[in-house]
Amino acid sequence: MRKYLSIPAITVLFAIFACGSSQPSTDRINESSVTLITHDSFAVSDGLFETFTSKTGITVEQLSLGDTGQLLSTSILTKSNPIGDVIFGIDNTFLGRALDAEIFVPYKSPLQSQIIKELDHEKSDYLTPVDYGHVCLNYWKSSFSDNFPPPKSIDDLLNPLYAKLLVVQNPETSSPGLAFLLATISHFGNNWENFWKTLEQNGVSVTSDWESSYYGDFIAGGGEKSIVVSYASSPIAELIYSNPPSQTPPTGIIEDSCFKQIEYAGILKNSQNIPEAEALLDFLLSQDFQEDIPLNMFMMPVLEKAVLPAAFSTYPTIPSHLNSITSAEIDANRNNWTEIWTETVLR
Amino acid sequence: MDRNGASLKSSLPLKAWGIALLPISFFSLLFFLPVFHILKEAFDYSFSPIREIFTTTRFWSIAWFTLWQAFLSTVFSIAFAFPVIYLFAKYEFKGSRILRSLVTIPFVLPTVVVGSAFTAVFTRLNLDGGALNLRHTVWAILIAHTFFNASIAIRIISTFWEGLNENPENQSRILGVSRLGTFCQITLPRLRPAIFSAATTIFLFCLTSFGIILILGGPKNSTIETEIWRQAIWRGDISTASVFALLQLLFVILLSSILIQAEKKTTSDENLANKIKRKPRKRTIVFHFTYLFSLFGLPIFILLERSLNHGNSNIFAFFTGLTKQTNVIPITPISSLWNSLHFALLAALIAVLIGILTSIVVVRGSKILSTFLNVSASIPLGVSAVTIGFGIFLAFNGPLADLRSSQWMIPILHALLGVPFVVRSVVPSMRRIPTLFYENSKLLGVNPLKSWFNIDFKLSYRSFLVGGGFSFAISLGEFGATSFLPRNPDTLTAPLVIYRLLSTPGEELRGQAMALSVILAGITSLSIFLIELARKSD
Repeated sequence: MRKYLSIPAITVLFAIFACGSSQPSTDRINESSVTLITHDSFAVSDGLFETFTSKTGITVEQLSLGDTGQLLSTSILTKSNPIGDVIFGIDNTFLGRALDAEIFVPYKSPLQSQIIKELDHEKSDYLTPVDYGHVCLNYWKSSFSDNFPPPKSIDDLLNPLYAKLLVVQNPETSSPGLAFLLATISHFGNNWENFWKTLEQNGVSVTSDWESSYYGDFIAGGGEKSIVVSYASSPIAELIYSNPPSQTPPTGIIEDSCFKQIEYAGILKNSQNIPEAEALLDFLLSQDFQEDIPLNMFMMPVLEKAVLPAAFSTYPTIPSHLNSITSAEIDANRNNWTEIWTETVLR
Repeated sequence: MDRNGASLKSSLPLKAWGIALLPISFFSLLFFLPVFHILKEAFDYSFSPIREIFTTTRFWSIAWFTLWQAFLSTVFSIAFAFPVIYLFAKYEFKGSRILRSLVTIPFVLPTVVVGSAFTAVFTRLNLDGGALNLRHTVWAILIAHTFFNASIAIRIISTFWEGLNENPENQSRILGVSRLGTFCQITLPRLRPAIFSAATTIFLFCLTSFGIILILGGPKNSTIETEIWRQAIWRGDISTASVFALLQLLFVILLSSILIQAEKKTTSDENLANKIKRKPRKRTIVFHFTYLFSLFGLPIFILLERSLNHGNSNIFAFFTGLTKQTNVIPITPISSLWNSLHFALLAALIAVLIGILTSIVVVRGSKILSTFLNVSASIPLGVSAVTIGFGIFLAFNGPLADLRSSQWMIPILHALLGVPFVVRSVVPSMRRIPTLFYENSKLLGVNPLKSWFNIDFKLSYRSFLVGGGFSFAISLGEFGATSFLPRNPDTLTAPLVIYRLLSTPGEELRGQAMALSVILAGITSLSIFLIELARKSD
């Protein structure tokens, strides 16, 4: 009989352990609270929302819901009974679909007038820009030298010298992959298919997601490719999280390959807490929140007067030459463009 | 020997419906209701796109690819597992229990981590695009599926094999049949129920495999699962996604019914005398260890190497770094492990409870009830994460709406995917218990609960442990639909933190992701080891 004793013993141990660590799932001490739903890359400094709570008496509950596509699809599916009140993280490549779904109520924050002018050109009553960044080609500096300089422009990639050095992501499954495709469409105009045809002949490598290209194929993760589609802020992240600590980033960006991504926030239609949601949206544009963005999310603040951390002012994160396509145009052509891309590069 | 049949039911005064109530409500609320809502949503759109989609060649080529890759992956996972199954079933040696707990490790490793390790292996094998180029091929998918799923076959089949006595094999050897001949003609047929059981689980798992197809299969290979995700999430085309989801559901119901029937038909009552395990010879040990290493070792070795800090005087700096909070993650990586463990324990307990009740009804209940629950307990594994995840958002409305973001949903949904493992490992062991035991027990006037405990529980408790261990591992690994639930930053689990660490560039963050994966793997094998202690007595 002894041999069976261990089972109940273990079960009891497990149960004690499980109970001991159970946390209260909702701790709404305050009457008024607001739920912010975001994508998985959302991050703020510890205690940032407490400054908001102490000013307004409103507690913020945060929920993350996967990547941007999943965040938006879930919000559309649950629009009659939303999971949260404010949504953050819809970018300009998803803007059209988000607006078509009519899931927001209009709101114009008083702080909206202080946003950098070029970022507010889409003029939507429903969505407010909160941060922005750029998807750019990054190169590994030590793979290049004076005799073999890194490509200066996206046009240089057509040169056979740079054949087989590039890894990109599939625009059908990856957000930076789509942004880079849009950069090439903006840069080459009607000639963009030929650019990709040449890249394909030059041996461009394609992965499904950013992680696989940056940490699989790119030199940073032990791979062999020296040029990768990533972000303008990636070299700064490489510097801040370098190991062993370093004074300069190991990577640089190719400036004319960049595509601007703007991330928006909006108030969901069937929210039960509209006044609180409006207060939270104002907070997202406040100097406190805006100056917190760069080091947590590696994006740029939209507020004109926001002060950038040192690393962000030392290294270029706002490329001189910008490619851009309006979100309406993206929305209208996106599936067509990615299908042509698939035919050209993958088949 | 007679099969489980009508005579058994009358000999068992089990109130089957009473026992079935809890599992049936569990599956109805968490599976059937959500799936119903998704299909309803699909048919609210017009029927014409469905006809359009069904007539494209792309649709059928994706469906065909999904089926044959899952079929081959299942065959490979079981075939390559067999030498290890043999080792565990036949031999007892120092450290065999540790080894047994180590083989579960691949199962919980995050795909993105193993993916990059495999990419590194493939890059080294690839002689500049030469003949050995495995990258982004179907071979990469098959190898990775074998790596991840062989442990399912190892655990389910070796546990079943251990319970078989060796008389038929001994007689066959005495009659002069060779070792191989005996294995093929006697042992293999006796193992069929467990093989079919493992095959069902692995097959369904490979049908809905997502990360492996996307990361290792590369952008050119798509399956029904990746297509549902791409259409629903990436393109926002719910109607196309639903057509794929519907097809997937039909496939899954059909195929799991066939496999489950096969498992049932091949089961016979067995004489369950305790078997004496031998000590292996040195040669045997060397062979099996080499084999185990070549099956599982390389990616794990690369992971270990990457978790160490070579540029620093403290080689374990990435591990010590886990206790500090970085800007990009809302909690310390270490505390995410605590969350993971907490959810995994709850999930395993729920899964074992529901799984045992389900198994009793499957084995001892009426035919309709048994078949219904047997199929219901398997198909959640084979249905898309998108279907279940989105289905729950749609189904939980009104008074249930708060459940969607409740942290209780996390272990409960983990358990939904753990139950199939419990049922698939318990059912074959419980089914082979001779009816005679029950008849005698009844004749002696033992009450049904006590006779259940003394017979079913005692004779198949090892497979409860195997199933419980897998539910625990499923939860630790954050599989499938659970990624669709809203997460509070304080309750992030280790795999989610690993993904977040890897989504910002920087050597420090990458090193920490690898270190956290190593700890996750360590905790998994330690937990399985503790569960193994319960079978010490044999």
